[in-house]
Amino acid sequence: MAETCWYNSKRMRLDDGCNNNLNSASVKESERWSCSGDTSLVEPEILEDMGVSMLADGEASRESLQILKTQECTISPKNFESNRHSKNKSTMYETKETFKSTSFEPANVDRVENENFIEAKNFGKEDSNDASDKPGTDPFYLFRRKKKLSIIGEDKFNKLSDEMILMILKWLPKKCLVRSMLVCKRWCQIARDEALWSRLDLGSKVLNEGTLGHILPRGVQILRLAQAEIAHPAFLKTNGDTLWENYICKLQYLDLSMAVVSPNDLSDLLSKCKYLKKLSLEKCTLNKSSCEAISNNQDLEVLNLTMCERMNIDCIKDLMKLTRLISLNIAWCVLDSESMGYLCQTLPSSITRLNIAGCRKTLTDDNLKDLAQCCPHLVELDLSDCTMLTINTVHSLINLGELEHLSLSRCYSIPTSMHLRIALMPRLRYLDIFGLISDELLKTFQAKCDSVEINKFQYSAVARPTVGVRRTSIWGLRVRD
Amino acid sequence: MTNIKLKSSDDQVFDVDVKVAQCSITIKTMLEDLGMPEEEEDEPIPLPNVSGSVLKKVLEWANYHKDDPPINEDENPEKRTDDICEWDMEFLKVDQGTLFELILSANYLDIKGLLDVTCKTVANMIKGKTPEEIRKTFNIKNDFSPIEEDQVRKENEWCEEK
Repeated sequence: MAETCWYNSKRMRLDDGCNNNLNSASVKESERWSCSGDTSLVEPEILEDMGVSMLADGEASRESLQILKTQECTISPKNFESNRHSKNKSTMYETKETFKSTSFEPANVDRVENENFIEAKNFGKEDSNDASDKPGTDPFYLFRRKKKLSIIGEDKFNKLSDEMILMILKWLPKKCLVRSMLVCKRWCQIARDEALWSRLDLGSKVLNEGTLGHILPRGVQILRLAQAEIAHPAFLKTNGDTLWENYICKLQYLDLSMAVVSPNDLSDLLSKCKYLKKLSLEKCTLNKSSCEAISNNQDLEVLNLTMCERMNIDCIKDLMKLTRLISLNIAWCVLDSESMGYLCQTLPSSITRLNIAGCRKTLTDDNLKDLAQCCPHLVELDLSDCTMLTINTVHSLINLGELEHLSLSRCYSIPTSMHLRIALMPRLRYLDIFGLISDELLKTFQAKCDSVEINKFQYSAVARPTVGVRRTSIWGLRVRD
Repeated sequence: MTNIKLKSSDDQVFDVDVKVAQCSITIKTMLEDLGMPEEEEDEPIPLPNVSGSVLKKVLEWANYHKDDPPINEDENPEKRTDDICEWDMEFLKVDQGTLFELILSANYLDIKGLLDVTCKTVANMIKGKTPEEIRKTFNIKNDFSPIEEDQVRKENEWCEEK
């Protein structure tokens, strides 16, 4: 279903061109949003793992809901005394403020009608539909309205400072928070407060053009965009007061794992980041300017590039400028020999955890020798599926005195006889050699080396934002409300 | 057990157990700065921002919660509003005016537990409502122009999508 929406949005853009007519756009949007599926049939747990926010509120009412087309409403207190209790639709409304309700703000038709339609006294115009459309025709009506507002229209929030309203809004989940933004200008301004937006989960969401440009200036610091679909352009040229040219966002933790985003939009987003500490681009397509943008984040400590596509030596050259990198996952990136050689000779010595698995045809014993010299403080190293590595590599590995976790799964060219030698490394705690040893042999082997656990981890967790099925945190930092 | 006297804005005097009064950090700090009152005849502590009827409610709350463990100041508490205890729910079944007075007083008196629970109660009144329903609940005037309103709506479209 998400896909359909994605294409719809693309087509809509074609139809509208660079449409600035908000009204017409909004009508189309309402049609599009209204086709969202009924999530009530799915287990909440599953929904959460799929990235659907767990917002119980509003869901119940939505089920029975109809979409309100243009509906006139009254703003009036419930205890307003009315002499009559007619539910006649020709009733006069108290105020003429109309609002167009789309599925964005579903409302129960019956309830709105019953509560809002309050009959004005002594009009004697029960069947005059015209009158309700032309409030100005009845001076008495206007008089009543003003009086009401001055006497009982007391907005209790006027007594509260912005700070105290913030203390109320901070308890709202994002969905309610954005609805609060539509209440009035004051709420809208308060609801944009950075304190409410520092953590945000947009995992698996479909983001329309310009959406990131609306969200980032709210001061998001921890953002999950895993599997999100980001429409082009991610930043619209005109966005109120924000000038994109020199704009730098506050993002520090960014998870773009498996996001659907064009290389240009990705580099556009990354060029607005200077303070990143942890970044995941798993399975994204990179280009030269993305890598250059990443290299400007000199505080970057954790970088996950698993399965990234189109990385070349220029990309590697930029990335190796990150001198504070602690964890790097560059597994399955299909680097060519030249890039691999450069990488292994220039890896920052700050790295303690490295996953370089899946270099089936490029990672040689010589490369590994360089690598071990560049990163003498490695604690965790994943070399799974680097099938060119031989017995010569073992000598380089043994020099890594701080190594605690080593994975050599499916490194078929390293003789099994060497595994025991490796298992005797002083600090080693975990050795993964999946695919190399039968269950029988594994038992005997494990019995020989009791200080090392063999085959405990099938997959590497190096630099990855999320491990397992839980998706509510990235790198241990909560992103859900 | 020592008692102290508190005087509301409308000159009502309340004789309160110190432990209860000290739920309010404002009063606690005041007592630390001024020293504990030693004699019965001591002047009551004036609380010019709290009316008698509200102070009575606040003290009722503080009395019930006087033995609560201190709330740990987690910078990013989980946004749960469904964890209000039954007693508090019953206690907060008051009209909007009183509820907002309680928020103001809890803020002034610096009673974190009461402030949290009252703010959560208001948050619960907002939750699940459309903007129009929220305006109606709290008598808030919509001062957006249709274009402005649409702009805000557009900015937040992502939130309604799966």
